Amino acid sequence: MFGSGKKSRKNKMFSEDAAAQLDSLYTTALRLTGQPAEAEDLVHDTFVRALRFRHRFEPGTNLRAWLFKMMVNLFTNNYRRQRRGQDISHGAEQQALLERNYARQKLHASEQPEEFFFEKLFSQDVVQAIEQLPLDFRLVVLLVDIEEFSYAQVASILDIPVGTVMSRLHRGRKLLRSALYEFALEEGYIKETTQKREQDNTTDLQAYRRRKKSGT
Amino acid sequence: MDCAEVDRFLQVFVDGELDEQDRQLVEQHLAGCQSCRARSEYQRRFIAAVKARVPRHSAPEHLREQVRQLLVSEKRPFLPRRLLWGSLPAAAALALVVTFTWTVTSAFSPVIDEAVQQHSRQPRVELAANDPAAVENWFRRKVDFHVALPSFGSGKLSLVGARLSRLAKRQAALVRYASGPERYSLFVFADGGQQLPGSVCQRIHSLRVCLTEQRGYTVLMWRSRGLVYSFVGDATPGRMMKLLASASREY
Repeated sequence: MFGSGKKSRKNKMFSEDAAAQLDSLYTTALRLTGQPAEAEDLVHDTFVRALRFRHRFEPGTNLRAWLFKMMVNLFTNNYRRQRRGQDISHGAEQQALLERNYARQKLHASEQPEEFFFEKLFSQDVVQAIEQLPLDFRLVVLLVDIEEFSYAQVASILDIPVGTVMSRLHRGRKLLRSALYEFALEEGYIKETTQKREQDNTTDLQAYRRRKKSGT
Repeated sequence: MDCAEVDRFLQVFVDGELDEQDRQLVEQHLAGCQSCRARSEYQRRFIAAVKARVPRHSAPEHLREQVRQLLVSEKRPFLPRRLLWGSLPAAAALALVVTFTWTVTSAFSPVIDEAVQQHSRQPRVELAANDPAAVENWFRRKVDFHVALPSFGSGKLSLVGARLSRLAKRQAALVRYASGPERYSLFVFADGGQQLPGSVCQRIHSLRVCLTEQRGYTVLMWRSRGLVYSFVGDATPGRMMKLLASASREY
């Protein structure tokens, strides 16, 4: 068993603190991979790696951020490779398409905030919309809005400047809101009362959604 | 601050990331500006609504148990989970007996280092061949041990060629393989009885195969009939173990 003394107490603390992050890590893993089996693998591999590099963790610094960083790296390096087909469609193309639509529609929700449409949504609607965000945006939204890391912590986890965190967060939230708004309209949770939409835009986004659903 | 400025800072303000001075300035403006206040409230409610609708999951019990075991164990596993839980194909058909030995060894080993170095440099072959027998024959008078090669099934790994090499001051045979864009190097040298480096070992057929990862490369090592083999590749440990498992037993 463990020897007595300072080193083994440190080990014990590390283990306990790390174990406390399990549910958090698993939840995020689910949002990243979209599948329980893959999420389990990802979390398990994260802990294996964390133990292997345990000596690199500076006690007193943020273990939670350290573990998330490890998991995100593992995800982008290993798990992403296997989902290559899916990721191409989640790449720059989708980003550009969604942002163009957003710009054209001049999403008025922010100018006329009487409709808190998002409070009419169900869990699965929101989860699905998040899981369809392009990865760069999804990561920042998950880490800030769901896991409540600070901008600085996210910058460290993703190894990007704080300015990039802020801009991805801003765009990610806009995309999310836009996607949820479209969805709420389609499902009839809300009716379009304000800006008249161009036919093209609706078709574009709906057609795109349909294409995605059929997996092309 | 005017509305335009507040709008620029709005997200950062709502996220509580503004420094004290700027935060106060924004608050002052919001106190007197209904429309900015409404926008700020909208942002806040949107983020809160999203957070409330993303469920918190508990890790499933079996995962919790596995992690608990990882954390209490003194010896640390290095294999990714997929490999541990039987990712080898047709394992049942091959009646694979898988035993795990946790060995904590020094990561530094000249054989591994040099093998990885050579593999990464992809030196030119001296003999281009796709037939193992031709390669074995070619080595016959060039090294003082008999080079016996595993025969990876056709369609899995193609033999590219061979050359002479040295590993930790020993003569070695280097045989190169490819599978699409993937590159592999197999080093063969005489067995001097040294302990095989490798942090985790696993049984494949009758061989005890030890795994190390270095600089992103996977290295598998085993001994058989007086020879030591070092199989280096860019692929994951799981894939390389599979390749080895599918190779013929007759060597």
